[in-house]
Amino acid sequence: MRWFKSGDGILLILGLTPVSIFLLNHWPAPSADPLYWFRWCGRLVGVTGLTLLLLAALMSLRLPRLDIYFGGLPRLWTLHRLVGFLGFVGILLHAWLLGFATVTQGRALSLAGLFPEASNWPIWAGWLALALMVVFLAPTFQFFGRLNYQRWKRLHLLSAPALILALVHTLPLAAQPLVWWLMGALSIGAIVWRKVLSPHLGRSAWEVTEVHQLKHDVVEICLKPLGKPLRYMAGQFVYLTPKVSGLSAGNREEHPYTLASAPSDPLLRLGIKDLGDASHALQRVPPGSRIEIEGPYGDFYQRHYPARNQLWLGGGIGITPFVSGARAMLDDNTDTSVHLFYLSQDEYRSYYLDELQDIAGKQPRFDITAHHFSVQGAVTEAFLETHCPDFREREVYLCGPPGMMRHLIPLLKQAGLSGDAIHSEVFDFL
Amino acid sequence: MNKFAYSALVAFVSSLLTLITIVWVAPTVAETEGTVREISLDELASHNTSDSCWKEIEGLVYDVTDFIDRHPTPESVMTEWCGRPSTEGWVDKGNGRPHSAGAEALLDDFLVGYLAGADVDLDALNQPATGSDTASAERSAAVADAGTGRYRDGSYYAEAEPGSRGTFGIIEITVKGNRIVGVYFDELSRDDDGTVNYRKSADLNYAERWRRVSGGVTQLSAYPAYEQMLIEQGVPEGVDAISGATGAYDAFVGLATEALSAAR
Repeated sequence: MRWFKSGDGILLILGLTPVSIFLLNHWPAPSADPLYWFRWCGRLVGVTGLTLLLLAALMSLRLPRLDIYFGGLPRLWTLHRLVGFLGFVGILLHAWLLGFATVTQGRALSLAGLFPEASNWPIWAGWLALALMVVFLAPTFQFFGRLNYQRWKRLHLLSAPALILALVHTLPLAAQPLVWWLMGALSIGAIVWRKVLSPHLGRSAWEVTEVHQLKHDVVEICLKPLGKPLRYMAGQFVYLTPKVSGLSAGNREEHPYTLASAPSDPLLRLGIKDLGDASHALQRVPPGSRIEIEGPYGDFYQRHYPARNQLWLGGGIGITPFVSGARAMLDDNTDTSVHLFYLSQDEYRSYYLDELQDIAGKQPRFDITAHHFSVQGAVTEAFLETHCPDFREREVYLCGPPGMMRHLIPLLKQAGLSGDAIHSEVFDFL
Repeated sequence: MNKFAYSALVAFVSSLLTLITIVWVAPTVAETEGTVREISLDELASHNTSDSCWKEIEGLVYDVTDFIDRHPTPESVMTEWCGRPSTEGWVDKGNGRPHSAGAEALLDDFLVGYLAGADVDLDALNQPATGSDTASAERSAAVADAGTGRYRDGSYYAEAEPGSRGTFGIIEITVKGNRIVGVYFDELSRDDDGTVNYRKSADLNYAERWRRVSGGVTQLSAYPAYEQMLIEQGVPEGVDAISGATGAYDAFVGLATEALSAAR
């Protein structure tokens, strides 16, 4: 049951409530009439579909620290996506089944059932909700290719009117509308918090004190709190919104970045690689600039086997959660040993390597092995075994570019590690 | 997941289009349905659940079971009337307003019979429905060439089959100078010997009950009005229905058409 998190239970209860209410009130009569079953199933998938969509909206709440109960924000987003997808399919089935349930009733009735006169607005609200859903989900499921991240985010906001229309469709038709009022209020409330309130209430203000150029395309930005400092765990990430009018791009846009500092550090440090417009602009952010932070999120170092030692495999800018973890090891007092394999193309693309080796010198429970792809080729099982003989008995944490993950995860499983001893966090669609 | 979502959407849109096409070309049930029958209050009362929901509205009984799901209110609003005389709920939706004309058109398709003792015009109910658009088109075309002297002089008589209550409509039309100059229409019944023992046009008790349902018009003025219109217009298609007496209208037009077919 490791894959089941306590937060999932709450979602499950919330999701089962409207479905159970429907089943209790509309337990199917034994009927040989296929149309009866079309109608019954049509309504059931409608109830299920709307429930899932409301849950998906609820999951977009993104309250800092709450995501731990769902295995971290990346897992919560994956769940959000899956639940939203199932909801969409449910709604399609709902309209399809009810449409076909009218087919034997003759032309006028059948068409009137699907497309009634305008005064029957609940039905039209349902159609409109479905149309809006297609519009805002098309880029999510990449029906017509990929869309720019910020434009996608704006388009995805159409989910709010779509949900309201879906509720307008459901509330007058439902026998027990109270549950929909409650779930609807929770979900719309989550969207309102996320999009309207949290930019003002959920963020804390910070000031850039220093910008260290680590390599030509990577900087470490150090932030000093203007208000309350942030309490976080190693390996967590935050959403960062620069409020710097002179920035070449990304001003007032939020993007996620992993924290590289130890939780005990009075400054917040973020390792930022030049990967896109917004992160490019941050390479030149002047000291004294005001930055807003929302977070922390994620549960990178979650333990499934607390007694085991750890194996860390970091590559590229994916080294940042391990920098945070290694810095934190300087003042922790556990007895867990860590072996970090730092995988990079070459020495020039090894950020933080000097500092990490320095930590290894000071902290006997921390070891580091650097591996350069251009010199040594791809990492092999033998390479891991040579430098860390007991790697099969460790709990593994991975972070790095997709190619590295695709190579390492099968390699580790081949070596006999079980799936739940391997943790990896990918947030490419946040 | 992306591919599945896209495929599901494409499949949904295509099958919806297919459905609309099928429904468009299929005949309606109303056109193929049989005759209506008398239903007792007890039988009506036995259909009082959402699994079988019958309602009496203005003397006629409708099986609205299939419509409960599609009715735009919570189910209970619809089901509280199941098995009961429901004219009250029909003329006042709860907000003081009656149901729309669109709803009225839908209602016809659920007709199963008439309540025992109700004042309804059976022959009219059993007339096959005709599309109103084609009827009015035919009417105006017929009116256009009315008065061209199409009928042979003489008197023409037609009689309908007796309905379940034993009454039957009759019509006599007299043509002079190729024009209709006299029309008599009534509903009668005969006793076992064949003697006519009932004329609806003289049944004032019937008229009284009819008045309660129609809100005014009865056979007393509707029959002469239809006769008069036929004389003036010259063709059955030129006769307009009078609200509250549409059953009689259908019976009248049917019989007139039949009688005049012999005059051509």
